[in-house]
Amino acid sequence: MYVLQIVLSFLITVNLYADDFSQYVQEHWSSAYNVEINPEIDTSKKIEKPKGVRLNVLEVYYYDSKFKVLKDCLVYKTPKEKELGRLFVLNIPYTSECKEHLFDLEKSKTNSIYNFGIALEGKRLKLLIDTKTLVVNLLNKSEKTQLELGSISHEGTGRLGVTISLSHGHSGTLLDEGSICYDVDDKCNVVINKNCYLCPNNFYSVKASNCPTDIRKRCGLSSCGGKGEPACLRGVAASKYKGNYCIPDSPIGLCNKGLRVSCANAELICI
Amino acid sequence: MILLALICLLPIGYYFYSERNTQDKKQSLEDKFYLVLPKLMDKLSERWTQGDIEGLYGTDKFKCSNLVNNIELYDSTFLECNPEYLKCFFNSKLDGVSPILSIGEFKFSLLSKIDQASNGDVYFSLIDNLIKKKISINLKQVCHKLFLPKNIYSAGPENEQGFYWDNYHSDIFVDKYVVTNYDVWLWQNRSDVNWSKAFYPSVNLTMKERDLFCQSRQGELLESRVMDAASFYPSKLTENYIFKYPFPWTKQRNTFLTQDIALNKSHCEQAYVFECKKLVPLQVSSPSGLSWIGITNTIGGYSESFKNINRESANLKVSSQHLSRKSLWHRLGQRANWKGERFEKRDFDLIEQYSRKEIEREVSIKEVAFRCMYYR
Repeated sequence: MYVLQIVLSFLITVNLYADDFSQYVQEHWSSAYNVEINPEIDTSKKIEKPKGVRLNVLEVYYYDSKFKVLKDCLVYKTPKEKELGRLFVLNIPYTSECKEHLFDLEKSKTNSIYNFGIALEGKRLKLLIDTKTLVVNLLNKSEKTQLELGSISHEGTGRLGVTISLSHGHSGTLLDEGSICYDVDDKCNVVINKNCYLCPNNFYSVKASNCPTDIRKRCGLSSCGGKGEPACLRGVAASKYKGNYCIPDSPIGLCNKGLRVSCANAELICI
Repeated sequence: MILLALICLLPIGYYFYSERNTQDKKQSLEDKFYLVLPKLMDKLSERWTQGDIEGLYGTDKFKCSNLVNNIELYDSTFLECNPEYLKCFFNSKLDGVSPILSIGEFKFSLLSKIDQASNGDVYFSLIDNLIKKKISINLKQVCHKLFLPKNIYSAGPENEQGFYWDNYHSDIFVDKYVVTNYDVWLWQNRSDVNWSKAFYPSVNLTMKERDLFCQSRQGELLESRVMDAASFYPSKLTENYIFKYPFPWTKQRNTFLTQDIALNKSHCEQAYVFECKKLVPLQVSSPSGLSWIGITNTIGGYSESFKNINRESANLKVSSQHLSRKSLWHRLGQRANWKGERFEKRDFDLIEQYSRKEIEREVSIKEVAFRCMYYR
């Protein structure tokens, strides 16, 4: 009987080590450049409520082997009476929301969870699953936000000039031409923060708020001042103008000779 | 009965025991693998951005045939973020330098060829010696881009006031050097590379092509006002006036370009003018005409084209190595006009475009360089 117990314990141990969930997470998420924890989740304690529901825990943006972007969602089915918790990964289109895909086909999963918690410490993501802690080094993540990465030392990568991927596939996508990849409101709060380096060609700035120190960015060729193009910028400080930016002939903008600054759809353009 | 059970179960037990050992070892190696990856990235970053770490450039140990033409014309900074140098490194063309990146017990070697995208990005893959995992690598052109500090600046030459603008809304980066033939040939997917001319400035694209090249690098053709901001020594806007000084290396108005003093090599580093040819060759990756933020070629060197949103026609810096030191074109901010397509005499209007004054019309423009800038 005792021998049988030993053999069974070996079997269980082997099963634990052959854990494809950990393997999937390490292999894919090590290439992540951005991880967003659902703000409704309290990361200071274990996740258990509401009971028996599918909770979107985490959104992970990472590179495929061709350095296009993939998006995973980590979903936790919280435990309820007579049913243990279950953790699974969904792979969804980059521009979609995880909450809209909670019942999609699962990519990788781990079952029978009593306790689950999560922590994001700088470039380290920790998944606390019962007695085990799975630590993922987010190799392409910078401490700064993605747009601040435009600095000399970080052109879109975690380390100076280097991005890596451990993914095998290449089913990733780029952003759509014309889409907003970065935006701020009048109080300079960042309201959209995608990775503008994933625009198919280039990206450009367009004045679309009263924020003097930051600006909206869209995917597309960068050009200003021409007919129908975004207005080039003189800037708020140089123009000494303190009113609303969105007026005809706004002094904050500049257009080529013969054209005028106009405000259309809240953006300064040249007509 | 118990003995029989033991005899039956022992081989099974042994199988699982040895299997667990193998799995244990594999798991432990995998764990270590993920832990060494940040160090691998640091090593790659160091090799990519610093290039010639061992200082072999110019010695017999440096056997990169594509990079040794006209060696006196370059300094080692041109090996930074240089894909040709990286190919040399991985192809064992640097004597005494191993192409294998070692970190602890892991050794990473090249698995694929080194590919270059037309935007200058470099792609390749590595494999490790222990768990044989493939790692895809992307290297970006991060070298030689200089940050323009946030301020209110004034566009145009020394006496021009009024074209004020600020860059508080965006981070602006400017290429330190002008664009080379190598960069352009890569963008054009040309295979017939003339290595002896590869790292010289690209001087014959049209204005439209120059902008398209810069767009492919996620930037745009350098704006004249940004060139002015990056080259005039900065000062604060006070009482609606910004002081501007005509030379980038001094606030003095009398210099070797205005006085009859003996010319020396350090003068030629400040501005490489015609008379410098007798003293020292113009290095392609030279510090000549260095400005306060560190960009080169602000005075002397090569004529250069820009986009100008304040005055469209003012798009050409005339000052170059072909003009004598006494030429009045050797002043910051002065602009003539280039029509932007051909390079015949009639394609240039050599009137200073801000003041509309004639400075020196009988100059021949032999080549027009360019560089990119980046709003971030």
